[in-house]
Amino acid sequence: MASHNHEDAVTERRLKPIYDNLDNGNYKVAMQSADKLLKKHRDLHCAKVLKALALLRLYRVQECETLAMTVVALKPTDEPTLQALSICFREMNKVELIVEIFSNAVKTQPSEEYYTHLFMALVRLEDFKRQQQTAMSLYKLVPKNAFYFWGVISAVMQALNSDNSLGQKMLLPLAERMVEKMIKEEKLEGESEVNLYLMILDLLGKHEKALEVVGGTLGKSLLKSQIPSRDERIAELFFKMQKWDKAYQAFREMLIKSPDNWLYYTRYLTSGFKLRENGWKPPDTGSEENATSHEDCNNTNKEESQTTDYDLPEMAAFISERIANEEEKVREKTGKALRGPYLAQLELLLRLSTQGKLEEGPQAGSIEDVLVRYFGLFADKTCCFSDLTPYLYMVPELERRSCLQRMEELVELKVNDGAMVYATSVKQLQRHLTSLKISRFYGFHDALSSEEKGNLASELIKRYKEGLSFGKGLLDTDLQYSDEYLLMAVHLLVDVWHDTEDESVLWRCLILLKIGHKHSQSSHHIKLLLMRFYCMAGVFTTVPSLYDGLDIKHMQQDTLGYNALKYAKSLGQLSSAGQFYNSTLRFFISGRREVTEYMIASYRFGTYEKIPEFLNFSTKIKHSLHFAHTAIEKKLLDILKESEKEGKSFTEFVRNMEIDPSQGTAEWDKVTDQRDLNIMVSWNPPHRQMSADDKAVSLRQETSWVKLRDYLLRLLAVSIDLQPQTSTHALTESQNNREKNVVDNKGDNYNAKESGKSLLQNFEDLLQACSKDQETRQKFPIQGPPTPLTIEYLDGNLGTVMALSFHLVQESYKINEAVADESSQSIQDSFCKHCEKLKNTLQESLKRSRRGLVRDDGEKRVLDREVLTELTLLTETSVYLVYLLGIACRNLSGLKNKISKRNKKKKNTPKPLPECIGTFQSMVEDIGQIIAGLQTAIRELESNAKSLDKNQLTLTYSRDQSEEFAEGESELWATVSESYQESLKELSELLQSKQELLPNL
Amino acid sequence: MGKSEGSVAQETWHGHVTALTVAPEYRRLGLAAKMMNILEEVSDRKQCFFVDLFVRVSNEIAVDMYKWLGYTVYRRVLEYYSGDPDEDAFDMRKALSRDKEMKSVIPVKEPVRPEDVE
Repeated sequence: MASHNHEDAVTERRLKPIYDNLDNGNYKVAMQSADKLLKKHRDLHCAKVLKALALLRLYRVQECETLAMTVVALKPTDEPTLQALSICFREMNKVELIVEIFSNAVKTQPSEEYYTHLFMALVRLEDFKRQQQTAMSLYKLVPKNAFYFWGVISAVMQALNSDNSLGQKMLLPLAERMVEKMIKEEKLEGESEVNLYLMILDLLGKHEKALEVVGGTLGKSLLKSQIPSRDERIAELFFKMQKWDKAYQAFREMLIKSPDNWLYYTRYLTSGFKLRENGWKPPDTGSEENATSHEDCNNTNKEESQTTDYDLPEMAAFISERIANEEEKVREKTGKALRGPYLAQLELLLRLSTQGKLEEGPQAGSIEDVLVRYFGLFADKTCCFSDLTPYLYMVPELERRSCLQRMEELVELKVNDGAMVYATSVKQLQRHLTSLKISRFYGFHDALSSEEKGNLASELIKRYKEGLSFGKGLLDTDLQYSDEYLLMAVHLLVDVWHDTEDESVLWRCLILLKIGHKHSQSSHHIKLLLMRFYCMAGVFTTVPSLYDGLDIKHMQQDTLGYNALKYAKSLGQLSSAGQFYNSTLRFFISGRREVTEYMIASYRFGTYEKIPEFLNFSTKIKHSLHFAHTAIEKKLLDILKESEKEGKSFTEFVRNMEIDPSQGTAEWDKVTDQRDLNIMVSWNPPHRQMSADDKAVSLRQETSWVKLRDYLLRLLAVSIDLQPQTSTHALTESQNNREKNVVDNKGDNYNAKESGKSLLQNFEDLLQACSKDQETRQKFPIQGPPTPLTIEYLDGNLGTVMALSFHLVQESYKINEAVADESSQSIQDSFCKHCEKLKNTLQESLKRSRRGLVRDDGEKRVLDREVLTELTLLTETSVYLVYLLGIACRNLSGLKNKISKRNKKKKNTPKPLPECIGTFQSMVEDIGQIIAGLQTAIRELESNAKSLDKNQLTLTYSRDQSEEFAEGESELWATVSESYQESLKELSELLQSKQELLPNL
Repeated sequence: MGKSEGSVAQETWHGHVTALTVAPEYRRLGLAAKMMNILEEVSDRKQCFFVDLFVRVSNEIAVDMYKWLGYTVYRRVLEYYSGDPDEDAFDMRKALSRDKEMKSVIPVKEPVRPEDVE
C-alpha cells in the first residue's frame, strides 16, 4: 500500500506542471510537457487526457476527442485520469461520456466516490431512471440515508417527467413505499426527508395521510424549521381536501395571530364562502351544546344561531374585530395600523359583489365609506393605489365622482382663488398622487378634452418640479417623491398625442423624461418609458446605457429583454445589436448550466423539494421564445455582417454555423413566454390596460415573426447546399481542416432540395397568413409590448423579395442539374418570371422608402420616424439577396460551362445558351442599379440627419419655456442627429461592402 | 434570501442574510423588519449562534434599520462592493439565544479585507 501511495505521489508531481499550465492558459506548453512525459511513460493515461484537454482549449476539437476516446477505450479506473476526463467532457458538452467512464469504473472499482460522480453525471444528463438505479447501488455499498433518498427523489423526478399515468400508477407509489419502508425501520433522520415524503403524498393527492404525518410524531420530531409552520401546513391540507369547515377554523385561528397575512385571509374567505354555498351546518356537537339549547327551548332559534356561526355576519364580525384591534393600536399609539384587516373587508365585499349579492353583506351600500376610510388611512403609502385597484370598480359608475371627491377632500390640497396650492409635505404629496391615480383609473382623464389634458399635464409638471424640493437629501439610489407626477404628465401627453397626432408631443415627452431621468437616476419606470420613447423616435445610441442602467440580471434578461430586442437591429445599430444578443445568449447558455450546478447542490444538501423547481426553471428558459428569437437574430446578424468578409465565403460561413435546416430553432409547441408585460406602470382605466387577450395576441404576433425569421435562417442555410459542390471546396488548407472538424449537424434524411422546397412553402404560407390576419396589425398601449417587425416587413414586401430569391436559387439548381434539356423548360420559364418579379418588387420597395428624414405636415415640419426602420430592413434584405444571387449565378455558370463543353464536342449544331442566362444577367444588372439607389437614399438621409439640429425649432413646439427644458431640447436634437447618423453610417458601410459582391456571369 | 452556514464547533454556525430588498412601492410598511424577524426565528430554531449581514456603509437607511432591529457593527470590510469607486461594507451582527454571553458580537476594531472574510 505504501509503495502504491509513493507511486501516486510521483505521478502527481510529474503531472503538476501540466495542470499549472492548463490553469494559466498556456495550453501549448501544457501540450508539449504532456508529450515529453508520454515519451518516457507511454501508459500514463492521465497525461494523455491532459494533452487532450490542452488540444480542446486550442480549439482542436477533433484531435482532442480522438485522443480522449483512446483513453476511454482502456477503461481507466485511477482517480486523476477520471477527473481529467470529466473536465474534458464537461467542456466538450458531452456529459454522456462522463457517465460512460464512471459506469466502467464502478464495475471494477465500486467506491462511494465513483458512484457519486456517476450519479451527478446522470443528474447533468437528466437520466432519472439510471439515477435511481445508481443511488440504490450506492446505498447498498454505503448505507447512508442521503443515498437512499437520492433514489427516492430520482423516482419522483422520473414520475414528474414521464407521461402522467406511468408516474401516477407506478413511480410515485414506488417512491411512497420506499420512504415508508424507512419509516417502518425508524430510519428517518431529517426534515428534508419528511418534506420529500410530504411532496410525494401531495403529488399522489394523499392529503389525509399527509395530515397524519404533519400532526404525528414524524412532524413533531423532524419538522423543526417550521417554514411553513405546522399549523399552516395542516390548514393548507384541509383546504386542499376541501374540508372547508376545518380549513375555515384553522385559517381563522392563524389570522388571530397573524392579522396581516393576505394568504390566510383569502383562504379563510374562500372556505367561508364555500360553506355558505353548500349550505353547511355544523354537526351536532354533543351534550354541552344540547344543554344550552335546553335553556333556549326554541329549536328554530338554535338552528339559526348555528348556521350563522359560519356565515357572513360571522366573517364580517371577525374582520371587524381585527380592524378594531388595529384601531386600538393606533389610538394607544402602540403601533401602526396594518393594511391586511382593512383590505380583507374590501375583499369580502368584492366576493359578494361578484356573486351579485352585495345587498346581503353587512355593509351594504357603504363600499364608498370603506374605500374612503382606506384612503384616509393609507393614501400616503405608494402602494395604496395598487391595494385598491381590485375594489375601486365596485362603486357604481354614477357615484365614482363623489367617491373621488371625498378622497380629494382628505388630501386637503384646496385650490385657493384659482391659484395652485402645492403639497407641503411628502405625505400630502403622496396622498395627492394616490387621488390622481384613482381619478385616472376611473377614466376621468379620458373624459377631458385634448386641451384640458394638456393643461393638466402642465399642472402636474409644475407640481413635479415643486416636489423635487422634498427630495434634495435623497441618495442616487432613492426614487424622487414626485417622479409619478412626471410620469402621469407624460401619460396624459401620450393621450394628447394619440388624440391629435401632433408629433411635437412625442418630442416633448422625450425631453420631460430626460429631465426626469436626470433627477431620479434609479427610477426604472422613467428609464423604461424613456427607452421606449427613444426607440419610437428611431434613436438607439442612448438605449444601451439606459438598459445597462436598469441593472438587468439573470432571469430579467428573459423577462425584460423584449424592451430592447426589437429595436437594436431595426434601428440600424448593428454593432449594438450584436453586443445585446451576446449578453442575452450568455445568460441563456450559462444560466442553464448554473441551474444544473444548483440541482447538484440540492442533491448534496438534501433540499429535495427544490430539485423539481430547478428543473422546471431550466426547462422554461430552454424553451423561452425570447431565447429562440435572440439566437436566430444573432445568427442572421452574423451572416449579414460577417460572411463574405476576410476571405470567408457565404457558403463556408453558413456551413460553419452548423444549422440544421430540417429542424426549427425552437420546439414551437413548447415555447414559453416569460416577458413581464406589466413592468411599466400604468394607471389607465382597466379597458385601456394590457388584457389577458392582448397578451395572447402579442405572443401570437411574436411567435409568427420569430417563425418567419427562423424560416429565413433555415432557407439561407439550405441554399448553400443547392449549388455545384465544387465551389465549396475551393478552400485554403486551414479552412479545409476546420471543415473536416465541423460535425455535420444535419439530420440523416436531409435532402436539400426537398427541405428547401418545403421551407419555402412554409415561409410563403406564413407570410400570407400574417398579411391576411387582422391580428398582425394590432397595437398595444405604450406601456405594453412593442409589435414585432412583421408589419414593416410585409408593407415593404421584403418577404416577397426573399421568397423570390430563394425560388431563383432552387430553380437555378434544378436547371443546372437537368443541363437545360427540354425537361427543365417549365422551370426555366418560371425562373425568368421570378427574375422579372424580383426586380420589380425590389424596385417598388425602394421607391416606397425613398424619403427625406423631415417631411412637411401642414404648416409644421416633422421627423419621419418610420423611414430608418424601412431602410434597415431593406438593406438587410438586399444583402441576403446579393448572397443568394451569387449562388444562383454559380448554378447558371455551371450550366453555361456544361453547354459550352457539349458544344465543343458537337461542333456542327451548337446549342444556343438558354434564355434564362441572359434574363438573369440583365436582372442582376438592374438589381445593381436598385441597390445603388438604396445606397444613395441612405446617404441622403445621412446628410439630412447631419443638418437636423438646424431645423429643431420647426420640429418641436412647446409651451414650456424653462431653461431646463430648452437645454434638454437642444441636447435631444444633438442626440437624435448623432444617432441617426450612426445608424445610417452603419447601413451605408454594410451595403457598400456587399454591393461589390454582385455576381457577374 | 438567506442561509445558515458555518461550523457549530467553532461557534460560527449562523444565519446569513444574502439579500434583502423591498420593491419601492412597498417601502415604509415595515416589510423588511418582518422578513428579518422570520430569518432570525428560523436561525434560532436551527440553533444558530448569531445572524449576520453585509451592508453598504453609505446605505444609512438600511444601517439605521438594522441598528433599530438590534444589530451592531461587528467590523468594517474594506472595498467589499466593487464599483467605481469600490465601497466598504459593515459586517453587522445580532446574537441569538444560543450565544448567551454574546461572544459573537464583540466588535473587531481593525477593518478587514474581503479576502479575510469567510
